[in-house]
Amino acid sequence: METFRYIMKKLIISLITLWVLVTITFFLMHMLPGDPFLGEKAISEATKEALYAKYGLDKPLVIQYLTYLGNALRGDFGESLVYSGQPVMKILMSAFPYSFELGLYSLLFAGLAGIISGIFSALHNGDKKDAIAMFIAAIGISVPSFILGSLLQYYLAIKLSNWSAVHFGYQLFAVEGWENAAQKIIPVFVLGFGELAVISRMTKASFLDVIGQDYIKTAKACGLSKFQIIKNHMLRNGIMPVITVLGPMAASILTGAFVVENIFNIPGLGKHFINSIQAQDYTMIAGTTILYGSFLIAANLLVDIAYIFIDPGIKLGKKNA
Amino acid sequence: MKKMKQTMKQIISLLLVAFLLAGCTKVTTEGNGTADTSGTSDTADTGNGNTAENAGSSSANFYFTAEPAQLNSTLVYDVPSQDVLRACEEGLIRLNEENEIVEGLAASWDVSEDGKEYTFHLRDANWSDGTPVTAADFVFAWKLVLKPENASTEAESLYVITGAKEYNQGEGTEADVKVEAVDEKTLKVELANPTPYFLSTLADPTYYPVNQEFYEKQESGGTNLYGTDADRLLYCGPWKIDDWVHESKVVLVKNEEYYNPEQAKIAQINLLIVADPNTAYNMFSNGELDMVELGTADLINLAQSDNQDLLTFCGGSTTFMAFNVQNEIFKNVNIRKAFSYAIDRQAFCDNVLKNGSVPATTFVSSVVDGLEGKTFQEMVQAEFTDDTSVAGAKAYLEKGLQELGLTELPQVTFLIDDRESIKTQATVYQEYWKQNLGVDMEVISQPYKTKLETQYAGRYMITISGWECSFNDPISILPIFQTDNGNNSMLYSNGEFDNLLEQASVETDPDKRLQMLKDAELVLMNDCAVAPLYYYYCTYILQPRVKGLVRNSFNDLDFYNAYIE
Repeated sequence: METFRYIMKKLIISLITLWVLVTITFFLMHMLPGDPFLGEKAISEATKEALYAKYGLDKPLVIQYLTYLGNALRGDFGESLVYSGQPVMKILMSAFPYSFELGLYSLLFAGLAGIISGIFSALHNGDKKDAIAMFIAAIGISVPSFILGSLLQYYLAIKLSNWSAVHFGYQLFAVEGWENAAQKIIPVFVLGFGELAVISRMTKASFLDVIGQDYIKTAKACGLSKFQIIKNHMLRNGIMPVITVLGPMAASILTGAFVVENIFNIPGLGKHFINSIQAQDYTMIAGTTILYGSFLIAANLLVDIAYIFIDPGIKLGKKNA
Repeated sequence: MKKMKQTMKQIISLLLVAFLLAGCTKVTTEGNGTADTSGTSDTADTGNGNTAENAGSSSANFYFTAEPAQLNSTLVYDVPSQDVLRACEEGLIRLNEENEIVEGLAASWDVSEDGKEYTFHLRDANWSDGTPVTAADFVFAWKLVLKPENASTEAESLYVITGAKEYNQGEGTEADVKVEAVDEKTLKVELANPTPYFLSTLADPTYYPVNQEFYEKQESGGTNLYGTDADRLLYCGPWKIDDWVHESKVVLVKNEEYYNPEQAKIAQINLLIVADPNTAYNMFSNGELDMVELGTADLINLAQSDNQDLLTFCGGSTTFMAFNVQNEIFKNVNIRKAFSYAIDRQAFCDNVLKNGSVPATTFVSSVVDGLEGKTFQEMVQAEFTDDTSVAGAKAYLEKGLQELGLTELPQVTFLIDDRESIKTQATVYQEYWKQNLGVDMEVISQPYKTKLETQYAGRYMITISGWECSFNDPISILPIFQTDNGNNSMLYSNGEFDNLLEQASVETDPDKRLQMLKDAELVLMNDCAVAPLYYYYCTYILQPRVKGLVRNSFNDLDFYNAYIE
């Protein structure tokens, strides 16, 4: 019951947060200097007025806001100002599966590999193995994905694949696209690598903290195997901070990665976040923001719920009081 | 510990094997040698393609950097959409590879003595659903472009038709627009002025026909969805859209209803959307694309080191420095000249741009034809005698300051948008002004749309702008300097220039008219109302198997006569 009330309370707060987000976005984007229909070539006053009327931009801002809110509640985000005749919802929903799949694989890869390498580093703290693992993590954090992506695309998808095509009749990797594994592996790796590094370092720090605790010493003294100690005693406590970063990370990674999608030509959501703002495509800006916001809020909610199950010691309700 | 190591080893080796297996896809070595690894390139090669019946059955892969905004010809404004429409629709006329006017849906036409009345006789042609293309389809389409509620940003290009401007601006009625279907196959158009370039603009997608009945069926909940999906269009060109996967690709196949079904020699054209120029180059290297544009010096170098044959064409656009001539400093012609001539254009093109673009010395680029076999650019150049040397720039500045009664130049600003390429260019111009004039220029960088707003509001001194000739006539771009023209962000106003343009618009002798336009541009040049910087050249490479593809400033990416060897 207490858990249910806790979740309900969180849900309500989430909805309010979303509403505030929509409202602020709506008014901020209308305050942007410029005009959605402004181009190098000027359009006549009459045409401009007609365009404003067509998209309802001629009405007072408050009326536009209320109309928008009403439509958004019914899942109608309006029509894109750039892709005329295309509903924002349709554009987002056709791009979303690509980004979601790419993000999910990257997250799984980054999460698994990151936690494993983090634990590995913590156990070997200070020695050569730790240094190597942390060096890789440092590369992951400091090499931007557009460099890593371009490099891997060139060396793996072109050089190596051409070589393999000549010698074995198979191309290992494809340059771009998102239909088969040959196309998916490199972008998943590139997108996941940076996150892997973050998770790995986070896990290491947190596990080092846990290793020094008395209950680990007790467990060792009891003669438990190292694997059992890790599995039963360290993981649960050590994983908490990682779960905390995983929430927002999941939200941002699942809703599109502009750079990776651009390099590997994956028709995902990433570009809509950037292009809609540059083009002042109001409906699209609002749509992408709501989508991202909902994901972020949902991910944080899941993290909060996960806390309850991983660590029952967390006092429900009081945390937010 | 040992146990864990073993488990990890097992997991890692399993993963590696899985990755390796998953990474393998078969290379199709038959057909035209395209390595179809991606699945998105959908090569429709039928086996070896050597047998007689397979001749002409082929596929090619091209790309756009952005999704076509929409394929409604009455609204179309973006390049990808125009390219798609050019392949799968047709206008009254076509432009051939020499940019000469040839018959399209009109089999012939008559022009009245005064050059104001055109009568087109349509050929027997069908839409892709089998219904005939009629004169009424043109009337409907053109009036739709002009319909105020349709809010087409391209309506202005139809203003040459009598009554068009009035209707579009809400001052006239639809009935007053002088375009009518005399009978099913005869279209009559009345122009406000003799307009020698009218015929050539008819190849523009804005002038394509639209089937009224089909269009009206696309009405859905207050919005018309015509041209937003493959099945929401009718086709009257050599190809039709088989599949339009938004944000990913447009697949063209032969339109069997086209009046000359043999025309389309490439059976399937895949138009992929590839935003990243480097990715496009890599795809080209892998045989996944048949053409790639080289927009940067890096890509050009790369292509050269890969021993590719570079192809170029003049894109028709002129990038220029625009002066706010209402500004208290830049109202002075000598100050403008100083800032214009201080830039070493040749060095700039050779060392900074390095993309094949050439220095611009006049406003209208060399793509526009002039008289007696010369280009319009050469006609203007021949009579423009100002000393434009870098060495003379400083003298102009001093003269200008004297005329303004100033001892030294106040702080001047340079407005640019925040694109990386423009920022780089701006730094170089800044350096030229510093070096050759001793002027410290403050660069103001704003987001693209904000910059445009600032520019059109006249809150700037100097900015970079660009304009493209969309048809083979100087009038395509000269009017932006006309008083009260909506595009005149330079706020330039010169009675002589306005008069010459006005006279040219009613002149019936094409040669005299062109001379007037040449004189008009000379007014601009002598007044230094504009500082042309460079003419943009597009550099690209093509797979050797592609033949007959036409790319030029007025007819870009024309597959009409293209075939695969």
